Amino acid sequence: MSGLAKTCAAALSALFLAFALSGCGDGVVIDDSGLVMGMFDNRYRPDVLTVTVGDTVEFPNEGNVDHNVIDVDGTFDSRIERGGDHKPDETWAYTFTEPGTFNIYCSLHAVKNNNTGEWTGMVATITVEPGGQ
Amino acid sequence: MRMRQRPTSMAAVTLAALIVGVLATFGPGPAAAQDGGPLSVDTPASEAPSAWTGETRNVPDDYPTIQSAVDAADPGDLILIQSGVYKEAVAVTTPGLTLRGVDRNEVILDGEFTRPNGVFVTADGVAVENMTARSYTVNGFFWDGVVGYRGSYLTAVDAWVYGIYAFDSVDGLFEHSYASGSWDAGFYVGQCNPCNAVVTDVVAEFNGLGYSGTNSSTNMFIVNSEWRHNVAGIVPNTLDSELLPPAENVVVAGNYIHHNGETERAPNRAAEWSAYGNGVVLAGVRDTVVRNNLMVNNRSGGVQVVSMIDATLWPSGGNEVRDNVIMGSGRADLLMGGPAEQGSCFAGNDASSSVPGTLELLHNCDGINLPMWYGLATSSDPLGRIAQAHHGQNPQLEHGDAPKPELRFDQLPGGLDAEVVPAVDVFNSLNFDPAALVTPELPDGMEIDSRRATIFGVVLGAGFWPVLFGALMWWVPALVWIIGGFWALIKMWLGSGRESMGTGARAFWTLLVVAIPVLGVLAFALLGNRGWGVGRRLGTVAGGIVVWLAATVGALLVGGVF
Ligand SMILES: [Cu+2]
Repeated sequence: MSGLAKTCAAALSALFLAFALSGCGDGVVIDDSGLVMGMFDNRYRPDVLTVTVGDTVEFPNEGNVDHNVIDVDGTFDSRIERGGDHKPDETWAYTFTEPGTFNIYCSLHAVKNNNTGEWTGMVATITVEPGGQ
Repeated sequence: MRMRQRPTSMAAVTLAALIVGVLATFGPGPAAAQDGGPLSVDTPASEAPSAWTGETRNVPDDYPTIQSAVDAADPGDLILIQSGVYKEAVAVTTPGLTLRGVDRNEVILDGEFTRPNGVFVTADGVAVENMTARSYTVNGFFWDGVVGYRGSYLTAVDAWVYGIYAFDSVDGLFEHSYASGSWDAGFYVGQCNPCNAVVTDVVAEFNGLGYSGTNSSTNMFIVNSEWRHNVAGIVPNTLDSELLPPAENVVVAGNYIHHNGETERAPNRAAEWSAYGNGVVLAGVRDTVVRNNLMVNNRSGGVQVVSMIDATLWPSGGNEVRDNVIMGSGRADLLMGGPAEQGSCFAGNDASSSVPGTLELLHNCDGINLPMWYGLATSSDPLGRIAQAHHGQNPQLEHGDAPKPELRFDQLPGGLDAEVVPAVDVFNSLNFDPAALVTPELPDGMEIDSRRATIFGVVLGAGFWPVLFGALMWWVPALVWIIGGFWALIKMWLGSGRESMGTGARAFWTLLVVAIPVLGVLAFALLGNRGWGVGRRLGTVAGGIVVWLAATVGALLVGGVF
């Protein structure tokens, strides 16, 4: 076997291996940078996030159907800014300017218990800590 | 469902399709055979009471709206709804309720194309019976994150995403129900393992998919139902957009699946269109059984087994396609495609065609099941369909434009006197016996379509993209194998190879060239064809691969597949 042929065979083997391994995924990839909350079907992931005042959190739609991001207390509503729901692959970002706890929900995939006011389904909590030290 | 491809994984796939053919293994055995007798499962604890409280909340007599009755109810109550049109989106967060309409066809929840979900349940053990939901922008009847659910005698018309839907929920039953006009799926069970769920005696028509099951696994039965005039019929699938991949251990049996491949009357998007015309598609699904189904006049195939490319490549494998009666398929009755198909098998089907043509011979559940070498023979079609969708060639319908059923559906037996049973321990209460599932009879007078004009597995009338992809990904490799194979054999037995090679070497190369499609020929051209200099050999093989790759990747790019 010539050197070239050996190189070629090695390259083929590497490709084969790369391909074989590409089949060994573990599904949903959750961004753990701390500033991204993915919208999957039909959950936010992660669904608990702690950030600092001034931080901008991104909400990419990683799912296959529409979603949105609404603060239970009405501080923000992605639909107003966007003029509608987030389609797949679209993203939306929000900069938190006040400390506090923000409970968010997707109006398409969450419901409110009218007796307790609690939302269930596609919901998440973002805690915003005061900045500046 | 919808597939999103990343360039890296897609490039790896196409490269591998050419160079490697297919990763081939003998897959694990198919799902365990049923011994007969009712199946029983371990059910997680439910927060719902297992019996009716005896309390009935009447709508509108006691409560003006369904929601007000639900909000007032205690766990285990009955919400009884009189005939009328209810312009509501009902949220159910109290466990063990039964919502019952007095007349399935006259108790109508109306989303008016603005409300998201007709009935949205996030509490355990809720049963919804005998009513219709129409014109919701998301789902008709929707259970999310519950233990125990039941939808009986429900009609979902024009629920834009899913008609009747359970997500992240276990221990459930959809029965005697109907769904039409959803761009994704009429019936959908997503993200559960073990699902412990049965979909039975339902009808789905004029949807993107009749049934979709993303990442729903184990004791997941889709049975005894009718799936017609959808873009595709029944599509268990694996995706990265939900947890618990891959989908596995699903049973599709006893269904009548016909006339799927709807073009003008079923809404759809790219992923639904990618399954176009097939009765059943197993997309990146493992250890699933498709048996005793009757499939008639589906525009593409009866059963198509393919891998799923999302952010991750999900190889299909270990599936068993057995004892189905399949006729009138436009492309072929049975289809299996790589790459990376891992040991699915076929046996006992009453079918007359397959792609590749040797499925029941070389991939037999009861006999020989050779490693899969066929690469993109079948997969080129869904890829071509994605390109069609990208170029807007899948006919689109606006929300509400699908044909409407006449509201004359069967009623809940017993009417007002029917027993009130919360959806607790649903699966075990069914005494469900998978062994009792049999193949439906062909209806009298059904005319069987003839196969569409097909050359070597590619339907000529499928449109530009499916034909182009079929040519690049199936015809070209096949020609390399066949014509290149003849060339190699002539070379080594009659030509210059005769002198430079011993008989043993020639026998070895012959075996390789014949038995290992495409790769054997390429290997011979590169390493065995000593009559040529190294440069010429390398130039020919590398040049051929580069030209093919450029054409294929270019076509995939222009097609918008990635
Ligand atoms: Cu959502």
